[in-house]
Amino acid sequence: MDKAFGAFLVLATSIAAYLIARRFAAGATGSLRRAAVEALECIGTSVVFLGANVLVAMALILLIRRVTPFFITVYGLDDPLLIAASAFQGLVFKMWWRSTA
Amino acid sequence: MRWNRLTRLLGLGVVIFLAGSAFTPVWNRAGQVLAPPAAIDSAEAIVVLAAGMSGVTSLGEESQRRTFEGVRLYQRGLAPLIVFSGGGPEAEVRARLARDIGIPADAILLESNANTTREESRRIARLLHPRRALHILLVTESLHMLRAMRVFEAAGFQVSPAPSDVYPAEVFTPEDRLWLMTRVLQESVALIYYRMAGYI
Repeated sequence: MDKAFGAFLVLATSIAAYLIARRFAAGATGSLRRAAVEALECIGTSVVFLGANVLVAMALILLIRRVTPFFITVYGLDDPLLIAASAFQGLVFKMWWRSTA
Repeated sequence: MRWNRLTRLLGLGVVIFLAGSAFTPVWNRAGQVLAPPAAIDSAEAIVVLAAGMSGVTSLGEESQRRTFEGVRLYQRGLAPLIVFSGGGPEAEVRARLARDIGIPADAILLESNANTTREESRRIARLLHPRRALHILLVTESLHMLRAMRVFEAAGFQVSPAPSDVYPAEVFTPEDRLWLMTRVLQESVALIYYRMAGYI
């Protein structure tokens, strides 16, 4: 997909979502700025989980290589599933943290 | 609240970092540090490092690229021997492909038990040193070349780099630049680990 078309698509659906929310849930929406800040907090929390997952995995892989005859490659750590799982961990943790604050 | 502030700053940093990585040539420059230029020269052997299979019987794309580069160097008459490395069936599949396109069977050597670049260097040294093959043309991915060269030099070889690609110079789209960022970070960590472990 052409990059400009992709950017247009995202912009168009964002504006549509904004207008629909303003039209049908006028009193229920908060500040967009606050939402952007919370999104950054979710990304930051996910990055903490990703870093922790990668560090723990590398330590375990090196330990397994050292004390057992099994070989596990570290190249497997660039699996997009690990990034997706870390993002999910970060999102859930952030929601849980907010609900208990 | 301190945690929220920390994650907010981290999130902002990551967004800026990813945007900079995707839309500027910063990782192309960093990649060039890890990718020594080709120095193709007559040698005593061509060594084609492992890159992995795609499924059970097919070579992965990177493995094919390295295999063809090794074959091309052999066909230019740059060395009398060619070593194919690769765990499982990879080395044998590469050798079969090379024989099918005209490389004589007695010019091909296989190494199929190494798991890491360091193990490849040590096992291939055991294969080539008795044949007095000390100067090698090393074929691997450009971003892997610096670490591979250092570890083969530590194993007693004189190494001429023969990279199978020029990724840092030819990657321009945002998604390719993010892939390049991942590879440069992987190789940088591996290089640091090899230095700390005393392998290079």
